[in-house]
Amino acid sequence: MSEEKREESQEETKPQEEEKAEAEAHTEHGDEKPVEDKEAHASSSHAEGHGPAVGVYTAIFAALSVFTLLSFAFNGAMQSGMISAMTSFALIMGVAVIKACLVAIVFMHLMFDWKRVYFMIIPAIVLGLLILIVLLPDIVLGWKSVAAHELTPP
Amino acid sequence: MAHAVQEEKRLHMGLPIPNGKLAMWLFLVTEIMFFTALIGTYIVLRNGQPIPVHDLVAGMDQDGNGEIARSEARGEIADLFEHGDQDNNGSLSEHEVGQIASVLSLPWPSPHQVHLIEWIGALNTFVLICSSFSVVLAHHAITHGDVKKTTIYITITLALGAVFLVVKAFEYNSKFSHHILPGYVFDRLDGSRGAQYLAKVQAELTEIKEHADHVSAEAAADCDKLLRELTAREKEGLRSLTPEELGLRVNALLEKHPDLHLTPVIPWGNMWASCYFAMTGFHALHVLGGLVVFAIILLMAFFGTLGAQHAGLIELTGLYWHFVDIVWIFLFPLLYLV
Amino acid sequence: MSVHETKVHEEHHELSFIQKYIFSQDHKIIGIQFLFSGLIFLVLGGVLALLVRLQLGWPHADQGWLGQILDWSPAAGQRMSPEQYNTFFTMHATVMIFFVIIPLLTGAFGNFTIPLMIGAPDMAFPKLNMMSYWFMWPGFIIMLLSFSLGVAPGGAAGAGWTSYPTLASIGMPVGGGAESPAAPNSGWGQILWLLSLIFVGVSSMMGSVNYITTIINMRAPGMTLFRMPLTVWGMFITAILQAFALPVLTVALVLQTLDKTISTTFFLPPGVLEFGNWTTNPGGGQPILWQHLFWFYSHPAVYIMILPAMGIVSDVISTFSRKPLFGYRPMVYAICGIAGLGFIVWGHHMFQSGMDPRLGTGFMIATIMIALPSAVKTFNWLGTTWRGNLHLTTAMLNALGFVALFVIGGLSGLFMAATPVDVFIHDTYFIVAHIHYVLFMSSLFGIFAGIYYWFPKMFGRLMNETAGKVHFFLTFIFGNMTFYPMHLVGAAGLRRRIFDPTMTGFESNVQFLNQFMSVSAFLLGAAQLIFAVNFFYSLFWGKEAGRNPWRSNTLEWTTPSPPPHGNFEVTPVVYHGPYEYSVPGMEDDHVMQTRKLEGVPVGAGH
Ligand code: HEM
Ligand SMILES: [Cu+2]
Repeated sequence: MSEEKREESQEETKPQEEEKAEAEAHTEHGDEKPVEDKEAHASSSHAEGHGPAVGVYTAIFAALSVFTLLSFAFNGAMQSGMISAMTSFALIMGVAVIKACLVAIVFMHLMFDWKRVYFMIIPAIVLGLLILIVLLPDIVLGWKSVAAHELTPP
Repeated sequence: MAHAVQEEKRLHMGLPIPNGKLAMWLFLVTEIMFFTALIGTYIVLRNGQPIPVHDLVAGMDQDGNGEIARSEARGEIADLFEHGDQDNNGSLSEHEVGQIASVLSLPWPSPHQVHLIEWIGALNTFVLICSSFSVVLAHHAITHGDVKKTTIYITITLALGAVFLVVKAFEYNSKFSHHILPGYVFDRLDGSRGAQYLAKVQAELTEIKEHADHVSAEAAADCDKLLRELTAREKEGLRSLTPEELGLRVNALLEKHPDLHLTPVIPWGNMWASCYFAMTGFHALHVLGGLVVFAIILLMAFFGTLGAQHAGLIELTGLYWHFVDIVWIFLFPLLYLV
Repeated sequence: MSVHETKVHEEHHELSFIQKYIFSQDHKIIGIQFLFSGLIFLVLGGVLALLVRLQLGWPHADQGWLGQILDWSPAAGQRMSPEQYNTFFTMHATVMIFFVIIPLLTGAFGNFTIPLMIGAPDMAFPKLNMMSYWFMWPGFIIMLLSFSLGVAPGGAAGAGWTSYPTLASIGMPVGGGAESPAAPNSGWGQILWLLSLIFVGVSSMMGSVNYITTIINMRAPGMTLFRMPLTVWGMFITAILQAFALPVLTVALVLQTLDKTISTTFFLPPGVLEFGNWTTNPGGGQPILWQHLFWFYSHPAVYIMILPAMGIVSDVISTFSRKPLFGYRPMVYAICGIAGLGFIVWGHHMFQSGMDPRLGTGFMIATIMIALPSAVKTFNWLGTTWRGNLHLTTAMLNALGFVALFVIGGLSGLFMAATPVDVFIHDTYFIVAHIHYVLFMSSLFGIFAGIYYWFPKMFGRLMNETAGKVHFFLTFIFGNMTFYPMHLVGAAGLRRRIFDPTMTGFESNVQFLNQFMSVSAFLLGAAQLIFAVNFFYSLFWGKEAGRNPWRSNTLEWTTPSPPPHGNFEVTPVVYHGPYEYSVPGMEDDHVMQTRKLEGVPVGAGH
């Protein structure tokens, strides 16, 4: 995942060993080791206390604004016929995904918390995509092939 | 029987995050599922519509076949107006036909048809992004123990959220005034809906005729022509207009004179309105919920109880607020752009 | 975040009666509240079931005094009307699923056992826990109100617990009164049904967030995930299922509510439907969408209704076999496997709904795969009892009943999972047989096992074993007599959800079986009185239980019965898994999880 890469690059300041050990204890089921309370709290308040600097937030904010303009521009380009509807759809949705990731990673502190919450987020995304994909054959393709005159009363 | 171990250090099992944060993320997971189901419903319903131009054409051309590609259907409409005008007076120019066809062959109402203004959506996106920014700043401030700054940022966030809702309210208002509401839009004209549509447009045209001074001369003339066509065809021994034909005419008129008070035909308009109100409505409810929490935080600040110990609370509120922002980041392009 | 630390010291804080028993934040009291409301609704659901059986057994008979009580018009031979019949079976299923099985399994046992079994003083969020109980009440009340003709003139919801559009979803005529044109009892009754379930859903969602947080973050020192009893595992996975599946149902319910009230068109097909001189709003949506959304929740929901019971049964069987659970880890993986697969099989309810055949094949394969983890569990239960020192207490009997009957229910599931077979048996009594083998004969036996097992912990007294055994055997026998023939009549073609089962020749042929099932059902209902009497008698006059009447290993048995507010006198420390029974070389045949063993080999893996 791209998020993981990001995480690595931005996390250098953290005391890595403890975190790693913890993470391992959790992933290898059962060999989970009790963590001392102090440590636990230390590491969590660590993430909360020293969030990214205001500069990082501002940069992300600027990026989000630019991306919003960008999607607006793509739409304009489509309307004036410069790019096809398909291309603009792909571009606009791509921009939306990037924006959502930026918000999630920086503003929602996933850059720190990802390894503690990924086990909830990944299934949610997988299931969300799954339901969409499974609905496609029935509701999109199935109905598309119904001849219109079958739907229109004689 | 748990004796002899008091001296052992207190140990913490589980994840190194506070319960509140874990629960908030779980809640957000349920929210992810909620909005995926809602948005997914929209996506599949929108893409699942049988090609609507055939429904409209079907009224005129009983051979309408769902397999025909859309461009062909476009050609059919053009054909119909070009060659099928024995009973048609050839009232539309070829250019107009092209325009109508392009509007009608959209598989879903265009923002323009349903009076959705793109830049307003973009503005609202920007407003929410700003509010997300201010809420992270608030969190940043409170972790540094700066209650005053926190209060200011939370106030800004609250204000921005309110702006979002106000803009939304204006948008809803325009939907109400144009009758773009579930169940009100004329999207299919079969059965009794067709008769209703004929009657409704006739009344509207009559109204325009009576107050001809409210509209431009050209528009009045066009309307008058349509009204006469609607009423007078029988005398001339021609079959009367079908609701579908009338719909095409009205839509063309509206292309030309957008200010006329006429009811257009909007293919899948009811479905559009259903999805639009369900999705934006639930999003707006979430915004409202966030505003309530911000108001509570401000009250705490007002009574002087807000302090660095509330960093967790503000972080959790922020998480929720960012999530609401993310939902809008997807709703905006899906509803307004693509 | 440190409920953990503060709660323990609050023990002696005096609480008023209302704080203690009504708006309680103590997980044990909340669990018991769920238990009582679930049992009360069990009675209501049971009565509705008997009314359904009455009609099916004797569709043409005059119902005499019963007809008079229920105001069935003499003109129609004092029989229920078809609409009433629809209401009865719809509400029977709704009440049983949403107000009985789910609240009992997750609400009652989940609340009561989770903190006790993982060694926590309470749930992570006691207030949220209280709210999750009190959010059930608007649901209860709205659903009960819908029975009142003053509120829902057409009668309570009658479109089946699945509420398929278009019958259920057609909008109400604007200004046209409270009866929907599609069917009188799909009017206000249906709207109330939807609202009620939205409340129940919100309640479950709060519960599930709370359970997951508690299990992840509140475990006692040493209680690693793989030292948790299977009950807790069952609850954990169930809560996860709820967290992921319920929002989708909520969306479906909300959209149908909008369809019915403000004429949106999500589930109305394109075109206009005509009913006499009234037409629906022009549609544009798709009815099958409801089925997808509904089953995306409701198939995981059937596992929500069985996984906790499986957990309970595992604990009970291991305890009363005095043997370690056979294959603890495979059991855990099987639960996870069932849950994971449970998300990709929902289409097996839609084989006959005009679903894309390509999807059908995928769903068929996935569904049949679920038999694997289910079989793993069954074999492991059997393996646990193998050569065990069986103590046939009532709890154990119920657990064994669960295992036996779950096999039958699972096997009938396999028949239905095969698309070509399902084409014939879909919507027949075969399905009804399956439902009742898995839900009544399995989940409810699991619940009974749990009640007999934890009753001493909940109330400090033992239930009467003799009455319990009589209750078990009668339920087992009459239950099978009631539900087994459903397989036969289903295979013979008897459709489910029909008012008059003698309408066609092939259905009349099996009418004698219908009568047999109805008689058995009445006997089955009567047998439950024994349970009710036993329950209330033991509540006050049962034998004092002491801390650990069953000599079990898990943490809840280290506390006094009933446990005080805050649960544990000292935060327990856990040294090994929960199933160390009959450890070789030990005097005692059980080793509490808090007991440190030195030099004695403790079962592999945990
Ligand atoms: C081996 C595991 C199982 C398999 C293969 C299986 C398969 C199926 C299939 C294919 C159907 C649809 C039949 C039809 O409508 O034509 C069905 C219905 C049903 N199943 Fe299962 N099932 C299994 C276990 C369970 C369990 C454990 C429960 C509940 C605790 C359950 C509850 C239900 C219910 C309530 C229905 C009926 C839904 C309705 O009203 O239409 N099943 N099952
Ligand atoms: Cu299923």
